[in-house]
Amino acid sequence: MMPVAAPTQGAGSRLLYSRQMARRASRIRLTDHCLAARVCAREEAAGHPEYSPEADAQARLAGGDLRHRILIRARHLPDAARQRAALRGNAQGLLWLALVLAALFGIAGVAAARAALIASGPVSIPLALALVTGPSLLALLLWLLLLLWGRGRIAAAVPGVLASLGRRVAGRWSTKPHDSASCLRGPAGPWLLSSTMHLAWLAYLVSAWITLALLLSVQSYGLAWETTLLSDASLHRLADVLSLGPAMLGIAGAESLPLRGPLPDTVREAWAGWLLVAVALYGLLPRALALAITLLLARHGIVGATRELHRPGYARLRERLMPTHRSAETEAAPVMTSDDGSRSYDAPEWVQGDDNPRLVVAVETAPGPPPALPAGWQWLGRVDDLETRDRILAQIRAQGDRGLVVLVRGAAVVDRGTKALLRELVAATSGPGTVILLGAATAARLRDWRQCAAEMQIACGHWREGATPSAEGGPAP
Amino acid sequence: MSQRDAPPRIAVVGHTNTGKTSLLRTLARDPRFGEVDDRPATTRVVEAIDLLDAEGTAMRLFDTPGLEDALSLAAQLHVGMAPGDDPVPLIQRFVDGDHGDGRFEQEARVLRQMLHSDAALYVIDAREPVLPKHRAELRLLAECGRPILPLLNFVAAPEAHPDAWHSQLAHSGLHWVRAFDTVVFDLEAEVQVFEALAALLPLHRAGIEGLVAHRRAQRQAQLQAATHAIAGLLVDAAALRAVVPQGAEEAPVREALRTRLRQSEAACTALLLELFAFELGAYQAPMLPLKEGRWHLDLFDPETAKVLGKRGGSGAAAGGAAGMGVDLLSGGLSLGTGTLVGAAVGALFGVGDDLGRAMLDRLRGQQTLMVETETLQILARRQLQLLAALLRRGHASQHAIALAEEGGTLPAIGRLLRRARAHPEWSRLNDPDQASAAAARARDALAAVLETSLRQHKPFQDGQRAIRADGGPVQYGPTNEPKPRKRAEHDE
Repeated sequence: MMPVAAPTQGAGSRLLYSRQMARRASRIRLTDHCLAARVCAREEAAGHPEYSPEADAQARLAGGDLRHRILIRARHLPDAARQRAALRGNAQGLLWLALVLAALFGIAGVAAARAALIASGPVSIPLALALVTGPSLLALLLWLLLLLWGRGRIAAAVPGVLASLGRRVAGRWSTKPHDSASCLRGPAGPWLLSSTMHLAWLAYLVSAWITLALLLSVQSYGLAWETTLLSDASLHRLADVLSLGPAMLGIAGAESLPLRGPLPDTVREAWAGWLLVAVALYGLLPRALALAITLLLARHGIVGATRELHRPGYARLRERLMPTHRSAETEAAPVMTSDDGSRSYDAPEWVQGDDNPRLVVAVETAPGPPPALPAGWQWLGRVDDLETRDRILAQIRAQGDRGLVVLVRGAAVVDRGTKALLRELVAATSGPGTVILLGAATAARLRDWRQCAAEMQIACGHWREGATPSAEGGPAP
Repeated sequence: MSQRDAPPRIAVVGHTNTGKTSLLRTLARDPRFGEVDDRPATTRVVEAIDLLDAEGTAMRLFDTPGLEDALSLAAQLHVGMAPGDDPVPLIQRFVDGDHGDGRFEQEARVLRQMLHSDAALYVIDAREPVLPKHRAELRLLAECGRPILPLLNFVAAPEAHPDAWHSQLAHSGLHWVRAFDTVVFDLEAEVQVFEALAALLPLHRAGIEGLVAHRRAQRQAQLQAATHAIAGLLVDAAALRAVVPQGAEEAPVREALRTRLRQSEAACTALLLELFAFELGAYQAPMLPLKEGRWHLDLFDPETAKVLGKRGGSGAAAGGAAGMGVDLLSGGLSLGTGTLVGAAVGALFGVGDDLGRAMLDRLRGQQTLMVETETLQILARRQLQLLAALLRRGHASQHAIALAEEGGTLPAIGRLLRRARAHPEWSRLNDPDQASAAAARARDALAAVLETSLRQHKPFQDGQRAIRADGGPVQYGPTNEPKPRKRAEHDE
């Protein structure tokens, strides 16, 4: 996103404004993480990243670590808007599910609270508390147990079930029905589902609490701690334990209020207040806490998914978004040389058994004595530098009509300097010239040397260690 | 992107055909940079690349044409030069002049780039003998007044003689030499090159150190991604199942299983090559010698027993668990009865996915095929060998990687793979949409084991000599240089 110039005064403030805009543009939101995870899954399924030079360029421009660049790229992909819409659709689906569940559970809450207060005699306080908070607490316990022992399986199964439900319910209108539960796959899925359930139970508890408060406000109920089975002492212990929570909030409970018998109005009011606080404390609070925790974990899961940079979908982007190098400049026009490797190389082959008198010179061969030379060949020495070159050239010129053999290393590169030297040596004699390669030479090197010899109109041969000089094409028998 | 000082400009110079472009390919991790050929003067222009880190350009490298006639140029340049003269203006005059009527055009480009650079990397083919022309080159380059760091290339080749080069470079006043083989990659050698440059260019030290840190982090990230890819392949393969329905032919199902596994392996191989920025042609996977085992309930597998115990303990399937327990205890003598009870419980309560289903399979007369442990080991070994080869492959290398078909098993991964075999829901080949957290944990654990195993074998941490000894014959491609051979092989 390009920074926008501020309509205010001064270059300094404009710069500040555009930096702020740029910062705002590169601020990462939760939807960016969802988007990147979605793109990652899609590109992993395709087996390769999407071709998206503009988005890649935007990501490189944004800088930062790879994760940041991946998030920026996802935002700038050509179909990002469509993906966002799909994400919104996902979120809306989940929200609808949560709302429907909340509505149903809310109705159940009203019914539960109403049922809790229906009694022919005085309303039993523990029964009312159990009716309102009991189902929620039991469900919470069950959820915790599933979390500990069955999470993987349920997390894997529920999106499938929901997807199939979604297909049945919305398949007629949806172009991509399998998308309906895609937000539930991945690490955040179980927590999103849990949050939905917690929200529904919270709706149950809130509606029950409101109903309780309303009914207790507008109707007169006889409230008492009733029991048939328990002894007075046991009932007291139960009431004492349940009063611990409200007592911490300064609400009077079993320690100061009578439990049974004809209760005066003030005591009934106190117990009514206690009941409302107890419902909030034992019902609403745990659910609200669970909801907060699962929402946090869902967020953590969504954000954490883009931290898995070793996933193929992300790892493949590394070189694109954080390249190792880039071409900088080419500073000069090509040097035009005649040595383009495409010329023919029909140098005459040096014939084996040639023991005509020859002068022998070595160029840049390995140090050490020369190979065993045929009789009649005269060793002049190795040309290494300018001094030896001048000395040997003088010797060749002095015996001008004898043929010249130049020994070279087969592995040596035929560079311009070597060629120039060879040309000088050959020019110094009026006899036939020959270049003989010593040691190993690749086919390419052989070709280069033969081409060089052809250019100078001299013969070319290959002499391997342990063999006598032979014609080009292999060692002598 | 934060602002940074101008990056250091480094000229890559040397005699023709010593692997200057190869060096840039390897440093840039780009097998397509420039032109590489086993001929002199392949590079005829000065081409520059920027080495990047997270903050942008950290270093600019200039690939220059090779020096080919330094001896003659030196002879011409030094005519009339007194020992006490400053050589830099002399070089400048030559660069600004007609370059010996164009005869030394190539050398002029190199020297001009030297004058415009902060330092130079002098690339040496360590297989070449030290010759007077090399000394002349070094002298010419030194006269440009820039720090020079000699780099010994192809040091992993058997015929390399780095000691001779060290000694000769010392004679030329260059005591700080680094070995860096462009074909056999070693991150530590690369780091040493950068560190030496940082020491030569103190003003750019921070930037170069940043580049080194970035490259180390990138390498680690690549390694992690690669081990996770292999771990993913292995878990998918281990948990892969294919059902042969009653009365159906087994062969087509078997072939389909093989095909799926081969495709997975090919995808993993392609991913590894991509992660390390190599081209697909860098590796030819051999055919997978695949063996499948039938799913025989695998009663003696501890993981299967564990799964079974867990299911039994979960309540409804206690009867089924007891049936299996009888089978276990009596060594299979009462298999039929136990299976019948187990199958009935499995069918009634829908629990005991694996064993219940397998038992039901038995009753229905269908079979479930899965990949044998031996095949999994082959897969693991091959992918790890490929990864090890990629980790020490320079981007200048042009030979396809050939892996040894033999090798030991990796006992460390056996337990993890046996676990995966008991969990068909872990395989993305069974269900491409699966997102099991347990499978992800299994992949992570396996990846960690693979990484440890790689590090313990140290295929990418040893020095270059050790790499050659460990990794078999180093293969040089038809790059700038001839293929090295063992001395005994010279006389073909």
